[in-house]
Formats: sequence, C-alpha cells, structure tokens
Amino acid sequence: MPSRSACLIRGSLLILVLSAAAREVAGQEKPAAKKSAAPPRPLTYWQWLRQCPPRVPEIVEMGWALATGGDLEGGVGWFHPGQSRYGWDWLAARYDTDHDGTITREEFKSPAELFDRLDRDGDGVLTAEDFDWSSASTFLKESRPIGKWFRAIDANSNGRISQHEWQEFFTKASKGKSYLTPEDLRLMLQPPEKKDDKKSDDEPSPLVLLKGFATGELGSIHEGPAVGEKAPEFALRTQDGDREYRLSQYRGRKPVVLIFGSFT
Amino acid sequence: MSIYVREAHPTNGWREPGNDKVGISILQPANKTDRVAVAKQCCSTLEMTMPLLVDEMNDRVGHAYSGMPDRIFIIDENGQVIYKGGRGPFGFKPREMEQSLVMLLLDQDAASRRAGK
Repeated sequence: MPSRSACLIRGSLLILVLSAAAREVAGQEKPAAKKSAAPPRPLTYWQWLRQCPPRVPEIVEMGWALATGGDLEGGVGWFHPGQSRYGWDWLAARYDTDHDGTITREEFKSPAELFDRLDRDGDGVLTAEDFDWSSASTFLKESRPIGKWFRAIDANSNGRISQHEWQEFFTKASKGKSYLTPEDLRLMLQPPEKKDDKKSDDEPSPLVLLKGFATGELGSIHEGPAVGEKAPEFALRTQDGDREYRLSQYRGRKPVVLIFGSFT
Repeated sequence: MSIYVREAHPTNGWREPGNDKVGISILQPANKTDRVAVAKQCCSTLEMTMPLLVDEMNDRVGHAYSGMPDRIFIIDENGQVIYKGGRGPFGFKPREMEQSLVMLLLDQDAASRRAGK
C-alpha cells in the first residue's frame, strides 16, 4: 500500500522531472542554432515548436514511469530497444537471393564462423527471428529460464560456470546422495516461493529510486549519441593507471566496441 | 574496451541483495582513488581481459554516451556510431551487438572488394 510519504515523493519527483525536461528541451535548441550559417535570429514560438523533435525526452519518460510506480523492465520508462545501422533488412537485401525470407549457408557465401555468430538460435538458417531482440521474440522468451538456471549455478556471477561451481551445485542439490533426482533439480533451479517471505525486500523504496535518479545511478539523464552521429571523443586511463586510451587513436584503423558498466 | 562508470547498486543506494549474497558490498566511490580501487576489484573478480578505463568523477564520458548503469556501443573507424544498445540492464545485449559487428565487417569487406575491382 503506498504510504503518504511515497505519494509526496512521487509528486515532487514529477515537478523535478518537468523542470528538468524544460531544461533539456532548451538545451536541444542550441546545436541547431549553431549549425545555421545565417546570423542567429530569435525564433518565434511556432518556429521553435516546429524545430523540436516530435518526441518526449527520455528523462520525462523515466520520471513519469517512476512517479506512476510499477515494475521497471524493458520497454518501461527510458528503456528502449537498441538501434543499429544493420539488421535483418540490411542482411536480407544482400544475401537472401531467392527472397524466401531465409538465408542459407549457400546464399551467405562468407566465412562460416560469421554465419554461426549471426545464427542466434543455431538452426542453420538465418531468419528475421534471429535478429528480433524485442520482448516479443519467442527465442528470448524460451531462453529466459536458462539464464535463470545459469545464474543459480554461477555462484560468483562472473558469467562463467567453473568446474568447481558445477560440482558445488551438485553437492548442494544432491544433499549428500551420489546422484540427482528431477525433484532435487527442481528445488534448486525453481525454488518454491515462500508464502511468508516479504516480497518487498528486493524492491527499492521511492526515496531510493529518487536518489538513484538524481545521482545517475539509475541511468544518465542524457541520451547519448544516436546511430549515425559522431561519437564523443574521450581520453581515459586504465584502472591500473598504466595506459591512456583515446577514442580517436582508432580513427581510420578499426571499429571500437565500448562497454559501459560498473561492478554492482 | 570497457569503461567503468558510477556504481549502479552501492550499499548506500539501491542495495541489491544478490550482491550481498556473493559478498560484494560497495559504497559509491566518493573520490577518484576509491573509484579506481573498485575498478581494480571489478577487473580482478570478473577476470576481465580487455582494458578497463575509469571515468572521471563527474561521469563526463558516462553522461556523454548515456552509458550508465551499463550500455554497449559500436563506433566505426570514421568515429560514427553504428550500434547503440538500449539502456542497461534491460537493453544490455552483447549478442545483439555481436550481430551488428559481424554485419559491419561484412559491409566493410564488400566495400573493399568493390574498391579493389
């Protein structure tokens, strides 16, 4: 049940978001004005409105999602799907020579290793489904339990199950027996939800969410460069201080993959 | 390469019980020295092999790319964004990135063959 303080926090959050959105929109106007060669003239309200992208800033979407409550998940708030210059349409236009909606190995004609990396479900042909990363994808829905089981066995959460972790899992699941039964596996991989457990333990309070929103722990209030735009230059040192990397050092040499993240 | 940004689930923020379970409790680093220390711990615990760059305390690069709490980009050799993953954690999809990277390589290969002819 939402308490009075939670409502108050959500209300003030809405006000914060709206004022921040006003600043974001004001900020978006600047680069457009800079680009034009003609001396900048003050815009009329209607000109300004027409220049604005017909899109809600992400900070407003997220603020609204937080203020109205509900679970955070993909598609809610500012969690949009990825964008890419390349996708199924690009690939099909080049390789699906018989236009039947599938690309076979014969049609692909490039190294088999690349084919395997594109073939997400490993069924030996490339189809639109292999490139569907939305929540509607059957493949993603079906692989969800596997991800859950993997995390249950990967004790140190480093994304790799070691032989030791695999054996530890067996020891724990078998409870001293020399074998596992289907029931042992079920109890480990799909533990029953305890009715007396307080579910709210895992869910952050509105105050925690508001703080995370303000500090950027929940995500940056900025939206970052879109596909086709120039990537911002940076120069940062490695954690051991040994080397400095600049994005521009790869200019004209090779593509760069940037992975942003933190420990927790 | 990877870029270490602000912690998503510090114990003085949105505390995640899953982290406590594996014995990881991190306060949000308040200065650069602390941030570098957590980045080192992250690097060794996760057995990372690629360069881990530590962002400035004002999260300059994290904001410039909207990279918090996590996100993946592909930049081509002209410095243009080719792939922009969704905001993490829900949009963090390394396999989706891999497909785009493979198609970028195919595209470059075709372009160089056209240029060679």
